[in-house]
Amino acid sequence: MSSDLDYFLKKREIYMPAAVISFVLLAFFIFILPKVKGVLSMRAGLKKQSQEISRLSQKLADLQTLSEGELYGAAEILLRALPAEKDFYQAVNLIKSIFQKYGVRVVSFSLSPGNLSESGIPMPIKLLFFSRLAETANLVAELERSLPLLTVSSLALNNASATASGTLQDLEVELIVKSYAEPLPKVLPAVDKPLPKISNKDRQTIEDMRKFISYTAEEESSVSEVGSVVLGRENPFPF
Amino acid sequence: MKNINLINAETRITFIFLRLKKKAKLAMTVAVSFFVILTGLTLGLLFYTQSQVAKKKDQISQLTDKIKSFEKNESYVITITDRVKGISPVLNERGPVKEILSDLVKLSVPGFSLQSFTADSSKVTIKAYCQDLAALTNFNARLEDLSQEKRYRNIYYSSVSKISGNNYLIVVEIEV
Repeated sequence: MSSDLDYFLKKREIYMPAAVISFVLLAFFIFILPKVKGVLSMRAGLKKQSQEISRLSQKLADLQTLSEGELYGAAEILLRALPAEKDFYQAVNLIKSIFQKYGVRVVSFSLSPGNLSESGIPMPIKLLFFSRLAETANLVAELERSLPLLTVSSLALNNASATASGTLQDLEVELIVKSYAEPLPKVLPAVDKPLPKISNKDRQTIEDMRKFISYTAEEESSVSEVGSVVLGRENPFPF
Repeated sequence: MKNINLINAETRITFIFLRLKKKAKLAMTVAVSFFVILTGLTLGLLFYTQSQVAKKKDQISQLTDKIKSFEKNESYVITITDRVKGISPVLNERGPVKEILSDLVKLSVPGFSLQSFTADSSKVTIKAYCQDLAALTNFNARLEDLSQEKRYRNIYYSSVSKISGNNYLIVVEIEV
């Protein structure tokens, strides 16, 4: 019995270290290794966080340099140039204002606004009127530098008298003007999204739009007839 | 003799056992020390990294709050870039109708009478009367000046015909 105990005690001095080493190895795999993995993944996350911080700092710096008043002014003029909603009444009123400015009477006009909720497609407006050549040139120039934007897509002049002795006084003009509208962007401001850059070209476009003649609602209403009660919208060409 | 041999073997085993015991003890000490150091380092690094993550998270949330306070500016920027994107093709799409019309005014020499004029984005056709040869010559001179300016791809007479009296009917085509 005593020799057995001796033997066990002797062997224990070997088994114990072996058991402790096994425990250490087991603890390393169960406890330490996952923690090391966790630390490594956290460090990778830290790198991402640092990138995000530099991106956000850049975005904040960009936003801080922009003046709210300037941005509002630019957005306003651009929205006036390219409205968010198709408004054929506004387009017709604008054309009417320009024609009245030049003292030209529109003989007829036609347009097919289509689905009013469907913007993004140019709306052609066909106009027929009598005018002189120089007057027509000025009229076309004015149409193309007015806000909301209009584009003369086709023009046909015909001598009303249609004789060899005809003068430039009486030209029958058929004009197709395109009016535009585009829905507002569906993208909403989001912290994680990069701030779109306003390029020099964009700034140039804004400056160009500022030079255009803006026909505001007040101007339009001042030239429209007041006093008569109408159902729906007033006929912009009451002749 | 046998006994002496047995004692030798036992002593040898004892020596081997003692050596093994020493090595096992050393290995255990190394393993435990290594484990303790590694655990300490890992836990230290873990807490340090966690505090760094928390710090950065805090920084991100502060930046986010500041950016949110400029939400209005951001929405203006989005609107501006979007509108410019829509306006640029409209401006590029514009044909030279305006320019051609002002050129036509310049081409209108005395005795020139416009019959018809059609213009779209690619081609312009001018049909006109010239009341005499002098008017035709003057018109032609101005047309040549216009051609020299090279603002249009091609300018050519589609037809010139003498009609009643001294009248000329001309058809000019301008390729834009």
